[in-house]
Amino acid sequence: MISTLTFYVWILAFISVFVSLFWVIVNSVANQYKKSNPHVKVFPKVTVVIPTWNEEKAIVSTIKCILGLDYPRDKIEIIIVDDKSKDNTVEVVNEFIFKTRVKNVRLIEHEKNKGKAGAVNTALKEARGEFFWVYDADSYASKELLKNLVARFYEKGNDDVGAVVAITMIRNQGNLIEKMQRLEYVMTAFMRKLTGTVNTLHITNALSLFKTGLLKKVGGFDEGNLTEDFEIAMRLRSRGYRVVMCEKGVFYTRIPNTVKKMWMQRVRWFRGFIYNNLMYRKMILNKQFGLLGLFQIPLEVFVLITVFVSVVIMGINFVKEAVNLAARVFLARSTLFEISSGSTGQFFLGLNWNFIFPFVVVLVTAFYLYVQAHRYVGEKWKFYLPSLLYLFVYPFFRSMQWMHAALLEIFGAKRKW
Amino acid sequence: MVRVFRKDMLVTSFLIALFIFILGFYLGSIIDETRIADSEEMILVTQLDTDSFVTEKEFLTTFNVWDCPLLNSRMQGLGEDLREVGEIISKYDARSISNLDVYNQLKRKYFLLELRAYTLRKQILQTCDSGGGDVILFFYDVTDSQESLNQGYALDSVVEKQENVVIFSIDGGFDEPAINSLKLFYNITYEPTIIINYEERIEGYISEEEILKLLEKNANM
Repeated sequence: MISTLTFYVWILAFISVFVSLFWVIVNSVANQYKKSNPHVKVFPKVTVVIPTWNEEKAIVSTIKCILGLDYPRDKIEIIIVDDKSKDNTVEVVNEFIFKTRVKNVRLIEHEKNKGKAGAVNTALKEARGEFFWVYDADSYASKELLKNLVARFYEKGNDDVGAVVAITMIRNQGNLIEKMQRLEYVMTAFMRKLTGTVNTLHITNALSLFKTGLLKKVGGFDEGNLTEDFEIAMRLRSRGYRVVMCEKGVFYTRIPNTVKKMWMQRVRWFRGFIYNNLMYRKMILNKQFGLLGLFQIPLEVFVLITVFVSVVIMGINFVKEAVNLAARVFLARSTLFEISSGSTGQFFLGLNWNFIFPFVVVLVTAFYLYVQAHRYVGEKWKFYLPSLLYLFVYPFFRSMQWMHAALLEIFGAKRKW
Repeated sequence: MVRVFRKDMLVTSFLIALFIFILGFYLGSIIDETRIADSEEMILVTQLDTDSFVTEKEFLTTFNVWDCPLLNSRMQGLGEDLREVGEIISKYDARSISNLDVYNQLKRKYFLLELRAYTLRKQILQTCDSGGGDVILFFYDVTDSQESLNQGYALDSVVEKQENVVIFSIDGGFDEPAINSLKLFYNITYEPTIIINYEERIEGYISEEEILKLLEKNANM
């Protein structure tokens, strides 16, 4: 007799296999086309905004990194918006400007802390560049990134592009927490490539490039939003603009290096996801938004719902199994790995193939995508402890983070970074 | 980057996923058939063992040459075999996605074999009087009852400690006239209930220590 749990697992497995296969097909079709190799014929002016808050250690190297990009220096305008730092960020920047006498670096000081979106909006008002590049102070870009980001706007048929997203990799890979996230960034970059390929990409991140005029037209960044980069992408998409991926060039960012920091960051992201999806719910199952409205966003919402349902089901089953196991150990005095009676054949027949079969199918397709993702970012795929932790242990924590985020949203907790 | 989405990508993915799942169901049905064949074979072997035992007992009765130690030992072996067969069939049944009727028939055959062995055990006890070890009839509730599961674990532990104990486990909710008669005979209204040595009836969970004490008390009587 098929239990409700088995049926639920099958439905999830079917959808997982279907979605994985879809991405496998998208990837293989996309691979048939050569990577676009954009050439910039014109170098439009780009305003680079660096929002800072206590960045005295990183800010100078960040400015130098931007000035050293493979892009005409006179076409770059750097606006540093200090969001009421408590350290010497302002003094360090002023000293740099004074010593180097660079004319295209400006500093704007906030009288009170307004958050990242507030800092970016301040720069947007002052921006004179045709393009607007939000550059996190603790990140750095590969030399060719900016010109490739710009070039994406000038490709044929890209008139409706509102933002270009870069491949993000991580800067710090020291401890286990950091190494664990490496895989996540690899997979994210690959998924963005795939979603970009089918025009369902609807997120921007640090070091995304925008059209300045368009940003001003849509009202800049949402200052009360926990994930303003996600919100702006959703807003652009809701108004008919596309977000595309730039596959040439990488930027490196710093990631949380402790469990607590990582937890807080994820909860913030997930709260932003819930909040913004509710805000743009009109896009869900809306034909007007094509595959994004009919497939991508509903799929993400579905995944979110299944996270909650799975947590509840797994929780109930976990308690039942724990009680049963305790009873078995204490009442039957048996060990955890009791050898069952019967032959090897009977052992094989006694296995729960209802779960094993879909699990293996999902695992095989996931493995294929895993290898492809590494190939995409130019890294060798390997399995080591952090990857295994990320694949098999972290999902349980991620479910908890989703629960945490949802509870904070339900109870209307204050939105702060 | 080019935009490559075509509707046929979604359709193709769906069809391949469907094919994989149909293949999975097909493989599942093959595994199920193999399980059923294995269960039928096990039951057949146990049935033959029981028939052989009955024949041997009839022969000994007819020629009046009772060999109680031999009969007790054969009975003990038969009880253990039945227990193993029961475990495997219930495991197969839990994994099965179809063939509910076939599994019900198999379980029916199995329970009838158990009842037959239980009755035979009683007949030997009446003739041989002693030395045959203890018999526990265990009525359990198969529908998610932790109390029944706990009782099963406690009985497993009893068997580990007292090798001469034979346990016959009966699904109290299984619709079989012979089981219903037995339940009526022992007035079983609640599972788990155990009957120790055909007489002592204990309703509800009883710990391993208490069972062992009762067995010891019976042995000293």
